[in-house]
Amino acid sequence: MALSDPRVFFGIHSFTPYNRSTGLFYGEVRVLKGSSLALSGELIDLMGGSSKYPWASEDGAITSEISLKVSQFEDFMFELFLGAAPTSNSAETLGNVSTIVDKFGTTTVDAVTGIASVTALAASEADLKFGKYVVKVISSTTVDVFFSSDADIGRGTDGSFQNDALKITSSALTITTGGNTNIPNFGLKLTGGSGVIAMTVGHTATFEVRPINSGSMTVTVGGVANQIFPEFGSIIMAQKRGNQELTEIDAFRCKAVGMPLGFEQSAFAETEVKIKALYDSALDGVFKFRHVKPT
Amino acid sequence: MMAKGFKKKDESETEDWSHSSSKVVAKKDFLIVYNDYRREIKAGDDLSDVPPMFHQNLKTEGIL
Repeated sequence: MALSDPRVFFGIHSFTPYNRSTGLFYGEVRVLKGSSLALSGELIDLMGGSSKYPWASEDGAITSEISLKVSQFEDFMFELFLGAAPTSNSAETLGNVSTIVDKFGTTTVDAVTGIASVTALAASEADLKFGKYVVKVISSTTVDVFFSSDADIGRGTDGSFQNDALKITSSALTITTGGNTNIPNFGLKLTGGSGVIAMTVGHTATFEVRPINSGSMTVTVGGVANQIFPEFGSIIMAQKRGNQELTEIDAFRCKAVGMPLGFEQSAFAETEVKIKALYDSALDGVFKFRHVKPT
Repeated sequence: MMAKGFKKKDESETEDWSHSSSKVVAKKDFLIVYNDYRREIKAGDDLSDVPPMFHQNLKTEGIL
């Protein structure tokens, strides 16, 4: 009888976390750079006397850690690795303008004496630009508007910064009683309160804008009240070989805390997540390894 | 230039200065920028042509 073909693995295909209670999958991570299941153990040696060699050695702990390098950032990854479930939004054909809220002071946003609301300007939604906005009171009835980044400033009608403080209004805008004051070129309007406008100079308010889109997500990471890092199972599939061989690791009980988020110049973002593979008492194991040679 | 949504002066709930016998004069400089309407006011300017919707603003700002 000849020797069998050696068992070899090639590449990585997917990482699929699943809910340990229901068995349902969170989703599939496909843009993978690599994964490794490190199972490094230690031997505890008995040393003593003048011997330079151990008298005995016994098994120590085994560190079981999955290191996962990915260039994909799905909602469930924020949930599993950063402890915060994102909010997914469906397509917004008219964009989205968040509610304006006071930031410094309390007179900027007021249904009677300040700015009652900020909304998209009808028929100008194509000018909505992604970013965070700050409204600053310049005098009792006028405001300037500031914009967080020029990354999207060319969407629709071009916007422009007026100074290094990222001001986008060339002159302070007048807020009138019940009137709609447009923010030029940005597809936005500020609606004045119903009474005598009387804001306090220097007070500020903020809001956020999403342009017309096919979908969006938001997540606040680090919130104490809703921070949960759930345990999950993981299936790691190696790339299917040319001879159809398939290899799989099913880690029954995993836990991860943390997922670096980095942006680099002219490069796709990549992150490395450290996942602990824990003992699952119900299944009496840490992981199952499966390999098959289909015919 | 007439700003969009302006009321005619005779429809205004605000005081209409256009019928006043005496000139309404600005006490200090001010700039109104409201959509297509832009009015640069200098101290001493006659404000009788300022649309009524801005009258309260001018009072609040101490221009009057």
